[in-house]
Amino acid sequence: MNLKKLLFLSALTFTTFLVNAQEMKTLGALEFSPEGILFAGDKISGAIHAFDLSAEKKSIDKFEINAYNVDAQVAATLGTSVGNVKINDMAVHPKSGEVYLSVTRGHAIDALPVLIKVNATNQLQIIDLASVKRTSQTLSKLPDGSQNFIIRGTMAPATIKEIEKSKLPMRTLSIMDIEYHKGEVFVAGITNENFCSALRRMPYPFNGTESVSNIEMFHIAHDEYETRAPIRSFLIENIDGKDQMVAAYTCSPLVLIPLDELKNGAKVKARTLGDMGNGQPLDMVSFSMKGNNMIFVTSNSRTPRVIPVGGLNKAKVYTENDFKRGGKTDMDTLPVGPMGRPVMFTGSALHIALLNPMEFATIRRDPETGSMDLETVSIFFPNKLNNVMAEMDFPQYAEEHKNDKKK
Amino acid sequence: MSKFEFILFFLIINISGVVAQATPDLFLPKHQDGVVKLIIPDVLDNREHVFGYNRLAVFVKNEANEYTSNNAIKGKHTKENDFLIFKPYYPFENGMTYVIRTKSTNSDPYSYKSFQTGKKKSVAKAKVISIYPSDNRLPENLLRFYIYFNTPMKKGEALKHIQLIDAEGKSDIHAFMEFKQELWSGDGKRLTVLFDPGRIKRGVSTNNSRGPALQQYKQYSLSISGAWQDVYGQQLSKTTNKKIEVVKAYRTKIKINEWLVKKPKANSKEDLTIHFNSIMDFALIQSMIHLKDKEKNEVLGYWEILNHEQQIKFTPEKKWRKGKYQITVDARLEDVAGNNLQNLLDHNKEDKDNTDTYQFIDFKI
Repeated sequence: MNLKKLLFLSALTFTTFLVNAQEMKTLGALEFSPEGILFAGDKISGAIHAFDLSAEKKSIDKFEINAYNVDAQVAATLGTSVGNVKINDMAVHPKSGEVYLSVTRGHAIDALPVLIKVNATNQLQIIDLASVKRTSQTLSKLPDGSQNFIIRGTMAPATIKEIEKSKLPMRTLSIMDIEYHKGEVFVAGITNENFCSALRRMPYPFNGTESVSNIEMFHIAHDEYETRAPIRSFLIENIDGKDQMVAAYTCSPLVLIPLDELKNGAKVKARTLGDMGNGQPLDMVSFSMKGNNMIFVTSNSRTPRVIPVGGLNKAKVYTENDFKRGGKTDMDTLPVGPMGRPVMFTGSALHIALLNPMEFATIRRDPETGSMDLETVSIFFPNKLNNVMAEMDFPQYAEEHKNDKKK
Repeated sequence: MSKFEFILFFLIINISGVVAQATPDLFLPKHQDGVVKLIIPDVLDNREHVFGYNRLAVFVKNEANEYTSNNAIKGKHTKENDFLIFKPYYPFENGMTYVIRTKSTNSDPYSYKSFQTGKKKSVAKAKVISIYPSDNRLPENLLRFYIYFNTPMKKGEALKHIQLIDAEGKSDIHAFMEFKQELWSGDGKRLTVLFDPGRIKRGVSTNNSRGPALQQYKQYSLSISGAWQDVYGQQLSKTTNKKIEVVKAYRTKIKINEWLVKKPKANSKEDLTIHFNSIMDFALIQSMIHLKDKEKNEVLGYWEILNHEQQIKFTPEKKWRKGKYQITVDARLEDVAGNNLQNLLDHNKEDKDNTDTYQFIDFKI
């Protein structure tokens, strides 16, 4: 244990910002406002921190970000080993277009929060957190950390990894995703109640108040109404003429929640528009393709999906009356509804964000080596040619087709 | 500091074994929060962030021996007198091998030196080290236990793992006070477990309905489950049981005039011992009793708690001088039932507190 280290760090924070009583203990989910305020979820201290990075400007007009073995690079710059760093989330600065990573260095009580920028020349820079102007909003009704998950009954005995999962405190799901929209910060996660799936909204600049609503939804695959498992990722889109949340749950319903229903203390019924198929969604990114608004959804256990936002307008809302009773899987029923198309991807997605209108930046596992890379892919071809060996890679093919373009 | 002084200083710290040193131009960090210092003889320009990295950079040692700006540890370079100083943004880690790349002057080739700040601490196996009161014979109105662990424990689940079990093996789930915030020491290694005072205080509703948690002449066991994990996720590995034999409740204030003080001889370094007539609170003994000389200065020496917190011993640093001494006892000192010098834990409203904040035992050697 290194108490001295922790004290030192908190002392540093306190002396710089006497006005900011809220401690910073970890940095998780990230979200930028268009002005360049970076919001970060802190599950341990139970707060949303806002870092003013609005002064940042574009240094290079067009660039790609490719930082291979990014976890090893992060570890090296922090003076530690790969096993001692965890990349929690990624976001792109709206002005500079550079990539920010929230990172944890170390484990348990030795863990320290880190914010790293991968700049336009693919250099890693550590943001000196003590010198960035920060304000924080404390979250109410958070799980206190004393209650863990359970080992779910399955047909086989629980594996070591399943047992490890059951040891996680429920508090780990308290802040899942953050979105900034028209002067407000929206946070998906859970509260300490039994009906715990929650959406919080708070004005920015923070004024010490937040509104907490609980969310219920019909889960097609599980054939039940659910109130606990939180929204994993969400976006705010204009659908049916009003601002609505498009939210993804595990296993994997997609629901709509009108923002005007998110009032403090409200129990909100989400509209289930479909199900993307079994698995756990990771990120949702809004982008435009050939003039159409699209949503790119990544999953930890299936290929990403591209969903046209237009298809969610006037879409059917599914309830238990639309199905025979019983669970549904990929093998029989799913996907259901206007859930777009599955698309290829440059490996197993861990994090994704829109780097510029034409490209995504993603942290993913390489399909062949498993290395963790930060890579840029086109929105039209979200893959890299090194992942595929095809007809067009043969020299004879190139020879035969060398005059094609001239025709 | 002149070069000569510097070399002398370097020799001294080297002899003391604190720092391993290769070239006298370089100071290595002595601990995880340390910095790397390089003596720079020539004049530097003001672009510290530029020259800083070229002249002094630190890396995690890698197999390829490849050290570039891409894998340099990020931190701040500053200049103080002849020193160029590098402080990493995040502290060094014990067990890691680092490589310092330096250039004393701009025209020199790079030289490399590796170092460690210390050995990696392996996390000790989690266990209960001690439980206080340490005696097995404890009064019916016992107020609290202190449980000491060797590593910080997972919080928020203490009462899931701590049970009071009677001779028939039945667990009393209402024995202890449930707090929203458990009573942990700052380092997470000491837990204070309070008996529900409602069960101890006579005439209070839970005392009437459930009776005291501990009953005189009966036997119990305080059980700490081996399933409890520390913050690193390792279990205590075995269940710890402390046997308790319940004796008569403590129903008097602490009366220091009943304590037995064994005086040492003048001009000796003999121990001074104090025998209490009951078991004192382990934590409070350590801060509530002081020994002063006739000038009211604290006598320097070491206290030791003995005989299951029923006795303390003082060993002076210097020989006892002839003269008057005074043992000062803070009135907040408690016995294991929470009775202090001023009152009982469960006193009647009309009982007048003894309001002295200190009481004294004077003696002469």
